[in-house]
Amino acid sequence: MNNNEWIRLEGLAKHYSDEKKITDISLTIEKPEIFALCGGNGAGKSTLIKMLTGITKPTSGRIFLDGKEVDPQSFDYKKLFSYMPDEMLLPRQLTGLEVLAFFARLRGISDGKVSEVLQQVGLYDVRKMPIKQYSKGMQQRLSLAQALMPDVPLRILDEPTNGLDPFWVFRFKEIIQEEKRQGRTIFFTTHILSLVEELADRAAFMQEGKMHYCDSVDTLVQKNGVYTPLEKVFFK
Amino acid sequence: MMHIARQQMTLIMRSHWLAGFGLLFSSLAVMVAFLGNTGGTGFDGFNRMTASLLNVNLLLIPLLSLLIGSLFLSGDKEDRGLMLLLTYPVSPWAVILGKYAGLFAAVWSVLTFGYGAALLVIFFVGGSVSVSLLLLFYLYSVLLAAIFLSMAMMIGIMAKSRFQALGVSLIVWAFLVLFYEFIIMGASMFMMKQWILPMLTASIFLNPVELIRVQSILSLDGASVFGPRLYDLTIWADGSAGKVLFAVAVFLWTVLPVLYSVRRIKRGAVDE
Repeated sequence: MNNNEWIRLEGLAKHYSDEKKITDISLTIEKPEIFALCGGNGAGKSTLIKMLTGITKPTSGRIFLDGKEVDPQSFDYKKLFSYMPDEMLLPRQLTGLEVLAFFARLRGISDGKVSEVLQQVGLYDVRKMPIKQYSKGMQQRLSLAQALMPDVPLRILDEPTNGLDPFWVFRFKEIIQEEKRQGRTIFFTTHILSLVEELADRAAFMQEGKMHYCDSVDTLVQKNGVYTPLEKVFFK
Repeated sequence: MMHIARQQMTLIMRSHWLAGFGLLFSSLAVMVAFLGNTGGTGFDGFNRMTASLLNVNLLLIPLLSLLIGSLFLSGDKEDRGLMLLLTYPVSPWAVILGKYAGLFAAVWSVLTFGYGAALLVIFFVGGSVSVSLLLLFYLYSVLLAAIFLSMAMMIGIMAKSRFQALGVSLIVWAFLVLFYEFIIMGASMFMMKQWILPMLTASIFLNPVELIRVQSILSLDGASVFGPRLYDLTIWADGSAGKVLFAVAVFLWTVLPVLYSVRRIKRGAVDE
């Protein structure tokens, strides 16, 4: 266990079928940091996140918190993080405010915080509009708002910039950097490598269910003493 | 749990599904009440009106409960809302029971509206009505909804998509409501005579539709419809042993599918 280690995944594996499986994933998450999990479609990023969040039980492997093994379905563990699913379809018949208020009530979060987060993601003025009238980007921002609401040390975001326009990708980066300044860890998945270079402290690359790289972004892009873009590091 | 139940109920109340089923159930209940009270038969035990209302209940309530329950839950899974909920510091019990309570409250409101509308029609056409019998009928309808919603939860949790949930729900409904009695009748033709009565008795408890059908008829003093050959069965089923076993069977049919749904979530198999 290194000094900065907070959460450690050790040998996590999930076997759905011979074609669909992830094997022997080990990595550590530090506090605070911005950690990017990269990889193409079907690489196993979302499955890893589902194991990390306790939605799916791993076929083998363990998760440690501060050096002690934890059950990812336990209450104490779930209180540590918030989660933004990949391409979540929010209930169309509800308003943005109703959706956020529901999730806020589950964690005992005040109405004031709900309004604050709605302003942060630029949806305060349309909070009473039914979600069926929201664009994809607006729905993605609402999903992000849901993950930004609780005061937890870890935010797990699955493809958070999907469907966001350039302005909101820019705002997303600002929000995430501010979150880190407040002492939080942000663990997010993406397939946009320029975003990783710009935002993340450390990154891991998955392909066909296996972890191929896991290091600090500075080390990854300076592999041979000269700057090498991440796409060349990962794909060559 | 209450927050989840309230949210689930709001979602269903704002969907077109419940309004559609509510309208269909109420119209049929009103029609049965109106036609059953014409010709001066009145409401007196197991008559034309109660027989028709029983058939409407046994056809529609399982279908309504299975479709609404399984489609809402599988849809929630497909849209990732359920996954998100499971990452909250909320127990799987609270999630499943909350969703069950919300669905049950919505279906219950449809049944109450349907029965209320039927009662109004009986009142306005001047039919005589035994309130206690109608309440008993209403209670059996609510039990039927409770059982089939529980099965719907299990189907919704197990199905990979809304489409699969729809298909499985329709197959389960068709098997239990339409084909089961033919299968039992067919099986009895190949059975030794002394085994037919035990087999028929067991068959009642193995299908919640038959369970409610038999108990409804017995409660309405309509045991004669079963004929003299099933006299022993009706005496036993109407006795205290039969009633206790009925209560146990309803309890198990309601609880076991919910238990299985929670177990599946705890096993982390909800996403498989």
